[in-house]
Amino acid sequence: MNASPRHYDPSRRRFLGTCCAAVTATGLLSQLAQLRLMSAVADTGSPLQPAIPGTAGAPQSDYKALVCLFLAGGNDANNLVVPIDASTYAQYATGRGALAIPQADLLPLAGTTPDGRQFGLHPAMPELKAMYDAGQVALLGNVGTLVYPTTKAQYTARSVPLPPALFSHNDQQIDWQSSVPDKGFTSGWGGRVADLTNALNTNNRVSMAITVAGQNFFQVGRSVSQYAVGTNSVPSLTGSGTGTSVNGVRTAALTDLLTAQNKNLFETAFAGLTKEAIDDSAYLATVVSGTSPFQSAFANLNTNLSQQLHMIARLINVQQQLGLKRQVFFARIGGWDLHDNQLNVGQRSSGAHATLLNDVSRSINAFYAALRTISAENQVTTFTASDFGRTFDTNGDGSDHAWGSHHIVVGGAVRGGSIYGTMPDFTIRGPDDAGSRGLWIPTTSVDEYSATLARWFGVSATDLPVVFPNLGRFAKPDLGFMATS
Amino acid sequence: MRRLVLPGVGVVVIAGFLAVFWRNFSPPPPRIPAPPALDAPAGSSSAGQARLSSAGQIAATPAASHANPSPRSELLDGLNDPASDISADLKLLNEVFNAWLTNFRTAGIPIGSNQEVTAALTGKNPMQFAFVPPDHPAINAKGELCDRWRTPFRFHVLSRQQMEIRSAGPDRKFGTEDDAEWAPWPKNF
Repeated sequence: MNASPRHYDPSRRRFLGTCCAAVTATGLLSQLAQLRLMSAVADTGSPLQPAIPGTAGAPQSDYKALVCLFLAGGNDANNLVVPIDASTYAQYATGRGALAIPQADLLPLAGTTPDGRQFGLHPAMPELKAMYDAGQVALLGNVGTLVYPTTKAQYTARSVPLPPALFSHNDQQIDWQSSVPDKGFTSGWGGRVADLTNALNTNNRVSMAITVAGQNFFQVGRSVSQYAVGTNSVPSLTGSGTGTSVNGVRTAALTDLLTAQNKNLFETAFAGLTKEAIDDSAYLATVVSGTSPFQSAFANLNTNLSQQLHMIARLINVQQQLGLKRQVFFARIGGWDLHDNQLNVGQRSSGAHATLLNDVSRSINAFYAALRTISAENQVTTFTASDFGRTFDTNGDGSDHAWGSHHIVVGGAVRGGSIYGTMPDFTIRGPDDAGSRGLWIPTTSVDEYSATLARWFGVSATDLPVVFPNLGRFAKPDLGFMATS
Repeated sequence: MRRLVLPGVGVVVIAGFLAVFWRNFSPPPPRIPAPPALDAPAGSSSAGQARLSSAGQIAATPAASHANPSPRSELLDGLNDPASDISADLKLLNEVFNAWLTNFRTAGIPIGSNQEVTAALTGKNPMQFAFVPPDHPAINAKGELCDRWRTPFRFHVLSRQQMEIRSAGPDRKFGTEDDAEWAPWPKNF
């Protein structure tokens, strides 16, 4: 009848024990997750296994790399790809007002779109124009974040879900980089692609996801972590050295501390991962040390973007030594949020926007030239992304936040020389305008754009919905701009 | 007899305590109906009026109290005050957006043109609450909130929680040196 304390106490102890175990396990998992982030360089491969010996230069035949070039701030792609046929240009000139590029300045692109319109590139991009003509560049019209395919009627009636916080910088950057705009951010599509393809990398000591532009949403994965390097060098432990010098003694002491046996599991894990991170960072620094083999390709270029792409080329050059058959890179150039002073009054083909476009054109051209010197141009695809497009009309001397935008895909595997997707109807308040200022409702989703790239990279058709859970809502999981897709 | 004394003493003591408590005890105030859920969908808040607490939180009052109209929001009363300056104006505007966020945290700040943002602030929102009175003197004929030089402010959306506010300054032209701005966060672009 009476509950015996003998029966009660063990139960309570068990309860408390279970609680403590749960709390400890949670803490342990959390701590290990943090440690994993700290040691992204060691995220795959056993530290006991050496990297595959290899040489710099031409990549293995089954090597592929994706380079995301993010135009942070929202590129005004209305002046990147411009209609040049008489009637559409007239519509463009009227709609853009003070932002219209003179027709004579535009760089005409061969061919017409299926609807018969003809387009040209911004005059500040002669290098990109030449690459387009050579079939190394494809353009994609009116891409943007979508939850479902959306028409103007649906947008106006709000009868389909829309990406939350359209026209907001940070939110749209996240949506572009995650490709899942209708859910809270958990991972980037580059990170998810890396998770799926990392198995192709064997014995790699360095993460396949490398950023030359700091932390980003694009490369956030579940098992693969992004690893940041500088534009000119790989971060390494300062004050370290060898031998009996002060730095050498310091390094030896640190090594002793990190290799010492600890009673505490956390201390042991922390020390082990820290040592791996330091060792692998030093290893990467050694591999990419010395004079760059791409000095001539990047000669006369000293912009931050050119330096970022230069470093990516150097990392691709040593992919064999790093044991990597797949790499995902992230680069970024800011300054595109041009609400004011977008171009020079009286000389509209120059100004802030032209300077940025020229930087992109020259840097991409140099990057491609560098890859050609090691015969890697067919195995590396570079693509642009941006917060959003910008209003077709002007606020006076700039443009404001909008939605759909045009993008650039570069590489030897690209079916270049064409404009893919559907360019918008440039009528203000027309069928593609979400408002009254030329906010183009995207006709191609980020999902379709990204899936086409992921498919080329090696993600199987059955795995595509894992990376792009909303892809099934859209008509074209493959837009056809990649040669092998 | 002893059997009666002990219970008797007990009764007296308890009665004494009760008397003391009875004298000090005041009845609880009448219960105020709970406010409707904030971030409610548009049109769901018509049952009550709203007022703004000192913290900027809208507190709904029951429909029965409609006889007392909600007080005019004073959050932006000092805007464009000649005795003040543009920095103070921008700070006031930022406080309005903070008040908005207090009430619409999930939905985030209103996004759109000055006209659309002003419409939201003047009552076109799920709570139909005017954070800024629709007849505020800083609102022009187009429904835009203007700075002290009569140029519409530029509401630059950084994220759903962060609004950068810009004034074109005395020259009434954006992108020049006399511009003033309230930037709550370092920009990532």
